[in-house]
Amino acid sequence: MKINSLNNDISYQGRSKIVKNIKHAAGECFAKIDNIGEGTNIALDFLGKAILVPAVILSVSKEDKETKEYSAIKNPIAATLQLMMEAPILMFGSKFVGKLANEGKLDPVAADIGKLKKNGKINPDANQILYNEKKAKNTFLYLAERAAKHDEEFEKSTRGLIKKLEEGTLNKELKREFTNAIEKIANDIDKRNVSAALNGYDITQKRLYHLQNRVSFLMAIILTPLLCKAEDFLFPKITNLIIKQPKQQTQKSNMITLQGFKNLIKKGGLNA
Amino acid sequence: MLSIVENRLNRFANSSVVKRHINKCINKQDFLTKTLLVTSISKDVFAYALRVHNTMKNDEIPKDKRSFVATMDAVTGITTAVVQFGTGLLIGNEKIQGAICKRLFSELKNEPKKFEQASKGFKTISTLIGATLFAKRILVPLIASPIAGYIENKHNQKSNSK
Repeated sequence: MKINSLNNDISYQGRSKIVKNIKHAAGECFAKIDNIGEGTNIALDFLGKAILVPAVILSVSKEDKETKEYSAIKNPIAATLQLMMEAPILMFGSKFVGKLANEGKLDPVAADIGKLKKNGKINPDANQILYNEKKAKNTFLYLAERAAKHDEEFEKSTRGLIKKLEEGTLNKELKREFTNAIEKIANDIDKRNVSAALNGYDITQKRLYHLQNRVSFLMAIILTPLLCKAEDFLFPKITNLIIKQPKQQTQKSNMITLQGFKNLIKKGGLNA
Repeated sequence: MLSIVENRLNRFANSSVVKRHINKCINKQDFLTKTLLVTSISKDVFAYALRVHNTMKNDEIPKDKRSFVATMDAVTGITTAVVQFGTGLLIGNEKIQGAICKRLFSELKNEPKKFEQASKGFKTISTLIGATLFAKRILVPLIASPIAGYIENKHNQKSNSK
């Protein structure tokens, strides 16, 4: 009895430790999440259509096996097709906006020209870095390297970080490490300048990211009619290549019937 | 052509509405979550609106059934939007999120900054998963089917009385 109780205690402790570890890992994981945007939306929509809808159809639908399988398989095909159209819009849209921003073409200096022509007033935001991530990064790197020349400890602690940043971009982890290193700079002026430059770079990067997301979203909306047409054209062709349509469905006409409409809704939504 | 696009984008990026919107997205996670929810829903709504428009212009559908099919599309579109937004708001509710995060991230209670970051990330992800996966793919078909049935019955009753 005693042994049993001891075993129970051990297994309870073991389980509670596992739960604690899982909770800790989940917390760490969610704390690291960065850049949630249109990409997340597209990915979730794809997962819903490619995995959830077939799973629901296969487990809930009361239709015959052949029709059920056909409905379940065609959803991942439609989801892949949709992903292949939406992902490039996001990728190329973001790249295009990023390129313009890094050339300084989206910052208020350029915007100021139009305003000056109109009312002769100087834009109060002129010369501000709003979206030029490259410039903000270079400014920070320049100030950090200059501070490193005056401060040996800062130079030692940021040598690896600066190299990492030069090769990539700022992320939550890198920002935290830089912030810790900046805290230890002895010279107050250097400390203030580098800290301000780091925050400026971080904000500029975020601004650009959200701008890229909004522009890509607008592009997706504008291109929706074209995407729908392309999907309507490609979907039956690809589906017929991959799977055989059940007899019941091949006999149906192309006309939209009320029952067909209801069935479509039951199969996981219409457009989507 | 490219300079026109550049110019338009520049004006867009520097308009006070966009600047304010972007600043809010950076500073308020709640606002960012709602923005992503709205962008996700509006793509669906726009696609349904397009479907309604195409149905009304589709000569293959008999004239008497055209408005009916369009109504069905519109109702499904509205249901999609309302259910997704409602689910998103419900999951993203401060009290619900607070209760879940308190239990889920109890191991981070000694690290308030990390706890806050984890809670923010969880709020956005769970709201989007709830709206895009659960509401759109499970709730909407469940709710839209009886509504479609109700409209069909009404339509049949009208046709019979004529």
